[in-house]
Amino acid sequence: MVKKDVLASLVLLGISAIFWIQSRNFTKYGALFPKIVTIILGFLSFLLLINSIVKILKNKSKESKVEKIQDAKSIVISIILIVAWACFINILGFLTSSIIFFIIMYFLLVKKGIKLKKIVINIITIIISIVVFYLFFSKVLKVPFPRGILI
Amino acid sequence: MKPNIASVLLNLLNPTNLLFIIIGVGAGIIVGALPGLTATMAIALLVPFTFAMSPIKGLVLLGGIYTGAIYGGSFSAILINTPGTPSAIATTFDGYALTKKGEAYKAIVTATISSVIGGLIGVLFLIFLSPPLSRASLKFGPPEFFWLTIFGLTIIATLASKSILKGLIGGAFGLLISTIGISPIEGDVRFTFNILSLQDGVGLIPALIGFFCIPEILNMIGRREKNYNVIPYRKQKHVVANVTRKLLKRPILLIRSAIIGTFIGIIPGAGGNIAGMVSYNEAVRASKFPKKFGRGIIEGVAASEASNNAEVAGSLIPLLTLGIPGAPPAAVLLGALLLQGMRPGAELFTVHGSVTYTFIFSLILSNLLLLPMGIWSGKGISKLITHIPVPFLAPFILFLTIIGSYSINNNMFDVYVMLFFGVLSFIGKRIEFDPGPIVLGLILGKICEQGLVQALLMGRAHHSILKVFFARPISFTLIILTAVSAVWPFIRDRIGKKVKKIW
Repeated sequence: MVKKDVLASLVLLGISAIFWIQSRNFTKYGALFPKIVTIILGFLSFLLLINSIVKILKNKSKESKVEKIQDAKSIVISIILIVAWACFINILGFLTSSIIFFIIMYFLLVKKGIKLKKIVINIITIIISIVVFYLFFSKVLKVPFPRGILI
Repeated sequence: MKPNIASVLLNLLNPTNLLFIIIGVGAGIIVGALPGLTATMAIALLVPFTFAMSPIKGLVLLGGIYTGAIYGGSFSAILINTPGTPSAIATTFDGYALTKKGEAYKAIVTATISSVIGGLIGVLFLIFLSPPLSRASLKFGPPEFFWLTIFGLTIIATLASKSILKGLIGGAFGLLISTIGISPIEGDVRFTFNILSLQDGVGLIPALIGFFCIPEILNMIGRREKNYNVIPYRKQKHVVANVTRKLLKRPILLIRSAIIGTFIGIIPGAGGNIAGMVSYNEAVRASKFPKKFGRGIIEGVAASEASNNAEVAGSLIPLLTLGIPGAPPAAVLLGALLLQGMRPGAELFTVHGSVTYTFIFSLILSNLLLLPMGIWSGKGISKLITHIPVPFLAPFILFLTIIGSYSINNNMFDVYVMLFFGVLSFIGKRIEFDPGPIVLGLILGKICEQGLVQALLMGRAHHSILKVFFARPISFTLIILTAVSAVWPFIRDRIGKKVKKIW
């Protein structure tokens, strides 16, 4: 936990530095507020850095109160899948890429040892419900959708 | 500024509006009852779709969802000892204890009745406090707005986070994100990193959806299918009448809890979870039998639930009058208001008076609807909680986040912004950075900067910057409030230590 804080404070210090350097080229009033905020952010991150280094030296690392992740692998895979989904929307179209994404996600999340018949039924349900939702949003609520080569 | 009661009533009794309120409350109760889906998330997901609706329909729908979701959280708190929304944390103490005694139905009825009463008291405060406050907001100039935002940020940093330092860092980070785009004065193009779409700044709604929805979905995926054991409960005769009679004998408990809830709602950044906890503590302190709390008495459930439902209306008071959200779900409602072209402040109560008052009065209806909907739907909801279909639910919510962030500007860039902040917020939460302060910083940043720079320009015109910043009565009060709220956590710790020593 404390080591992660060191990393986080270093990243935040880096961000403050980048924003500070950029804000030097702005006009007087355009630069004022960002400069104040970067100084505050940099100062606070520095405090966090010192705070966590002191804790490491004193060996006082607390147990994290955040709920432990049981399945870190699925989270990483899901993040990659979501980003891939977002990138493919413009190429394949919203409906097609969503159906592909939903099916992959289904296999990722479903419990092992389910019968083939149930899998087939579930996938058909998924496809039908996506199409229904798509039609509902686009035709009834008139929500605009991103387009690609297919729908 | 008096509302035109007739037109407000006509708006409320309009069948489609009524339908939207009912749908909102029902959907809210379900979302609130499911652990992992929060009120903030439900509102964030639906805001983009209210864009196409008329302002009244959109707002009454969101108001219904807000009310329903905060109440719905009590179901999972009582039945499976897991708060369905953060607001219901204090409900678990006595609610689950009652369930273990086989009195789950009694606990649910108590939660329902006290939520309704608490919620109605909260709305009364909203009705009577908002118009004078909105008139006062007319006296706010740039220096006052500057100090108001500083006050809001100090409070959220000290209240909303486990670590004050991390809360402050989050707030500052949010402020920094808000400076991306063209500057309000002098028009500099700032921090766009050569991305043309960033010139307009970071979209508020995509950022809100990312911050509040993505981490919850990823957590749901990581948790996998956790099967909750629900102890089946039966409806018993006379429980509703008995509980009502018992609660009506303790009007002070309910009224005190509702007042605590309302005022904690008004404080920016302190949400329903804090309202419930504080009110529960006060109920224990004021009770003649403090040792009975936590072992399953209905007073404990009533204190928490009356307070967190009163907080709903309370959090709308600063939102509607000053544009400063009192709690995270209210922050998302701000997005909905801005999307409809309604700027918070006196204008909401004059120009948009009919819409605003319809929205406020619709909250009365939403609260009353909790009574039948809550008591009848209990069984179905308890079944739903037992098996949440994650393989369907997770991708479906993602589907909504993507359409939602795309549809505001028909722009794929907003989707990338949403995903970026979503993943960032997920990582942040793992190392105890709450999204609350960051989002408040993002919302308040623009108001804060504009206040600061305009006040400086005013000062230059008056040849005295100090006078403009410090010598105005409202500013001065706000400065003192800021100082008090900044020092408060340290005093609280001191008192806390002393109390522990005595024990």
